[in-house]
Amino acid sequence: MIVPARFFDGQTAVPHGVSVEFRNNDLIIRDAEGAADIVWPVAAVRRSDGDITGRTVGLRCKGETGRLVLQDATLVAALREAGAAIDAPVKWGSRRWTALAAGLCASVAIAAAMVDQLPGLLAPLVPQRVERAWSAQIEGILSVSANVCEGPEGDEALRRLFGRLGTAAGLRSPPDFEVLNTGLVNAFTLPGGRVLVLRGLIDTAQDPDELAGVLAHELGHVKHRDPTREMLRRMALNMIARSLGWGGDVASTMAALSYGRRAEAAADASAVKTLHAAGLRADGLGRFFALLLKRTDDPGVPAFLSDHPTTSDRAVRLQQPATGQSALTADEWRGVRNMCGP
Amino acid sequence: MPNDETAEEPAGEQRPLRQILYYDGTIGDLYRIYLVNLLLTIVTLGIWRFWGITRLRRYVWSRTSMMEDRFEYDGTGLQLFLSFLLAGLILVVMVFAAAIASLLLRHTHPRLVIVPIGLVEFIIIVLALGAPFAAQRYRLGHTMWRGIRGGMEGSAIQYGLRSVAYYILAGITLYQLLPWATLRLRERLIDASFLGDLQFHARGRARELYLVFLATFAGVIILGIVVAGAVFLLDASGMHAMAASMHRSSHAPFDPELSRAIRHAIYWIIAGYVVFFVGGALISCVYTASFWRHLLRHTNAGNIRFGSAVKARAVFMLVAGNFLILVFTLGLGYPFIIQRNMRFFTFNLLASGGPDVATLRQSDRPVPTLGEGMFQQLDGGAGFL
Repeated sequence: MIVPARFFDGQTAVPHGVSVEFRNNDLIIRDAEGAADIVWPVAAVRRSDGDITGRTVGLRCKGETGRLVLQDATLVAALREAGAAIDAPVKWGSRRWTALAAGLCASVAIAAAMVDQLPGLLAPLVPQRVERAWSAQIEGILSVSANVCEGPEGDEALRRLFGRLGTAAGLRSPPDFEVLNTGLVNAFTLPGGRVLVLRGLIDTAQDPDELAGVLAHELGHVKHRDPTREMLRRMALNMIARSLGWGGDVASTMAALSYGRRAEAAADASAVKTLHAAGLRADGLGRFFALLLKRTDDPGVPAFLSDHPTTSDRAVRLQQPATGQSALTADEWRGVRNMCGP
Repeated sequence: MPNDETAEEPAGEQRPLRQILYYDGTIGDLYRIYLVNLLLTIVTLGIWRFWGITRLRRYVWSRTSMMEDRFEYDGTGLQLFLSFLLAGLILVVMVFAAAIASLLLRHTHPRLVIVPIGLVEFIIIVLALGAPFAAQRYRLGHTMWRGIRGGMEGSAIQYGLRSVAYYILAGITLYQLLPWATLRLRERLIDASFLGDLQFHARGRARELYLVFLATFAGVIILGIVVAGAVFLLDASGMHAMAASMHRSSHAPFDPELSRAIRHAIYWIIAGYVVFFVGGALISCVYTASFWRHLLRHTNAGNIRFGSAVKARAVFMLVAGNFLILVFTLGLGYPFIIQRNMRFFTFNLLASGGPDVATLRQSDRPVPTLGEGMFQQLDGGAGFL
């Protein structure tokens, strides 16, 4: 079989019209102008371009710089049959597309499971040492140590309250906590069960029972190991985002919103149970949400931008009778309110 | 086939400029490669990326032609991967060494603790600014046309040092030397580039760009002032609340009215930023387009003259379109962006003709095996071009 082709000798860019013959497992390139034949053993022939459609085929020989450009499909097929390492032009039928779609769907499903299910399964297996390391890392970012409030009376009162709530919630050891001098109205639970109470929360709560409600809610997160689960979830999101080349930050901001409604509702339910078990008034959490709702009610903010879309639901759902002991005495409450200075 | 390209070309400088590169890749082919890459990237937790970039490049190069012959890309995923690992190792070792050196100095010369850390930071800046040079050397070194290999000569470190110096100069002149700095650096990248033994050469005049630069620079500043003024006028109470909160003691009780006003103010400020960035991008396109027209008009390779007629509007449509595609498809529209970029690039690069094939010869320049790793490390780029 002899076919015409274009040849570049690898030294200059001058195109040579050649005829190519395939004989005895050799590709013989014969210059029309009478230069010496060039012989490429078929085992050393490789594809030189990345054109997956194979409309033209560029060939090279291992260890040489020359290039042969063929347009003859039968010769290319013959070479391939003789064992030349030339990728076949890939025809994509419906089976290939289906396999690809199935593969992509499966990886989306695996990714979803990694984010949604796996953290919950793995959270109980995370050793305490690791949780403490994560906790220290987060405290470093929040510069916790620089903002700790240390009023001895308030500290003692909160320690007693946390102890009582911890026992009622069925925690193995009384939870560790810290009050921070920050105006934000919030409390966090860190991996490992350390609770950070912000001054804004203590300032905003109208009475100790509202504070106790929020603390009981946080102990719900401790009991369910929500912070550890959330850390695992963020790690999974980061890993997925990085593997897609999106960078890690996207995932952490997307994940930074909350533990999700399910976990919040579970912590709310746990809070009410804990307060009842401790013999304390259980209406505080509901009243506190109602208070927040009144204060931040702002029709100008679309619901999807608000980080607590379910506040009004929660205020209604958490309505409880005003029976039971108050969480702190008047003196204790004063001590707690003065922890970060008068 | 006879070699007729040179024979028919009229000699002299006045040959008209016309399109020199043609791209005929298809979106279907790109998606075939891209989706398989996506799947393998997920399955390998990202490691496939380097092989994926290589596959895309092999395709795009092979669908780009000059004088009816297609380009070839012969880089490998393994080279990209190893280069990435090596660059990471270098960075880790340097930072580690600086930390040890600082610890050792802490006792003997406490004041010198900052020196090793500062030195490593400087080295990393030089490497980051030199990385585009090394990356271009790798890509060109693995680009072939008619069997003739491209390449680059010169030092990436030197380019990095030069960039540091130029950008410092641009900074201390309040950016008034920026056109000069960017033009000189682009010229370095072009001057170092070869196809075989054919060297590219560029020599522009920054002063011709300065007026356009000044106009866009002033335009962006004026836009900033106008937008800031508009935000202040439209939400004066929010801005007052913002200022008031900065002077408040951190012990002041929670004030819902104030926090609501501040939240409103933040929405206004975000809206202002969006208007400023879109408007600023629109204005800068005028400069970008005239920069490239100028640079390419002053670029040649042997007796080939280059040029471009690219319009500001076209640059804006490309950038804005790519941005919207990326945002609204969460990155899955990437093949469309490759397609748009390649069409834009090949359409807007004009030349007086192709290389003189009778004199263009292969060079024995060494083929780079590593080189893109630092770029991928420090630029964070999943970049393919």
